[in-house]
Amino acid sequence: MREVDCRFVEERVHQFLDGELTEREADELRHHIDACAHCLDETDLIDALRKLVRRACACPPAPETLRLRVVTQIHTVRFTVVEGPGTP
Amino acid sequence: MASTETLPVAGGGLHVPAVSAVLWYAMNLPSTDAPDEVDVATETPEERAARFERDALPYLDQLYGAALRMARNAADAEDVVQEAYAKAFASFHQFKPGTNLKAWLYRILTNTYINSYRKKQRQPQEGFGEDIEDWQLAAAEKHTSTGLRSAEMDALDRMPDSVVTDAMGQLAPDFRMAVYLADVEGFSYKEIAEIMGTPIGTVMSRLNRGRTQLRKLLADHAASLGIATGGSDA
Repeated sequence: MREVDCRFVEERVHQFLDGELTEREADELRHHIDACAHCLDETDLIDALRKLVRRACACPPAPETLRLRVVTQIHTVRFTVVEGPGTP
Repeated sequence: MASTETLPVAGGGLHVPAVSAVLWYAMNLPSTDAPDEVDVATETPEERAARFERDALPYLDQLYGAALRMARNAADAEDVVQEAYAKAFASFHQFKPGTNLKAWLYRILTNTYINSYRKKQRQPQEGFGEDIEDWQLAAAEKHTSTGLRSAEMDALDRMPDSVVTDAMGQLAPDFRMAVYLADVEGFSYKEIAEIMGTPIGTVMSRLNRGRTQLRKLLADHAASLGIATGGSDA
């Protein structure tokens, strides 16, 4: 396993948390983070931020009027297609 | 109506690994034992409309949520979603059944939003304002000396949702979308790259900078309320 420094972790911490690193790279980061208070704190904070965004951005459902508009639109288009000239 | 237009999405269909499609089915279609065998070439318009309603409409709430975060107001969000659904339906015969429908719909939504956004700006928006506020990045780096982080963590834990969504709204649109797609929707970088039509490196940079700016904005907010975060320039 390569020895990696704080800079290396800093550049990859988002990929690490998003599960986008290879197993090998993730292990290298984990190895460093476990032994480095600075990187551990940073990683925890960015992870907390990710979870905060997920929690905060949970959205209300789409308004019924929008659902109706979309469904109506599908059927309008469908009838246009049906009434048009047949496919060759 | 956009019904006869070709979909203004570069590069045609999404190329999503089979694993994602399988996962997607497993997670989102609990009632489906196996994907229906659809012969897109021979299906009637009625069948296609029914299939679209059955498969694409269940994403309405999610797409609306994303549009709300992109457009920042409900009326614009509804218009973007309606237009995106019109485009998606018009191009639905080009969608390959069994591939990643959710990512395909997000891609159309994102393109629709970007087009409407650019139209409103009435001027070229090179880089979408990505160069703004780089001082914030430097400032954020400076703020994170050891010892102040536990306070920042506490502040994050107590941050009201509305403050977070307001801060999201202050990010450049491309940053906001990247953060939203990754953190809320859980898309992989590869999927985000396809949805946003950019290389994966660009996704990483937008995500990294978007989250860093967000962190700074939240720290500033906490500081303005007198919550100790270490985020002030004291």
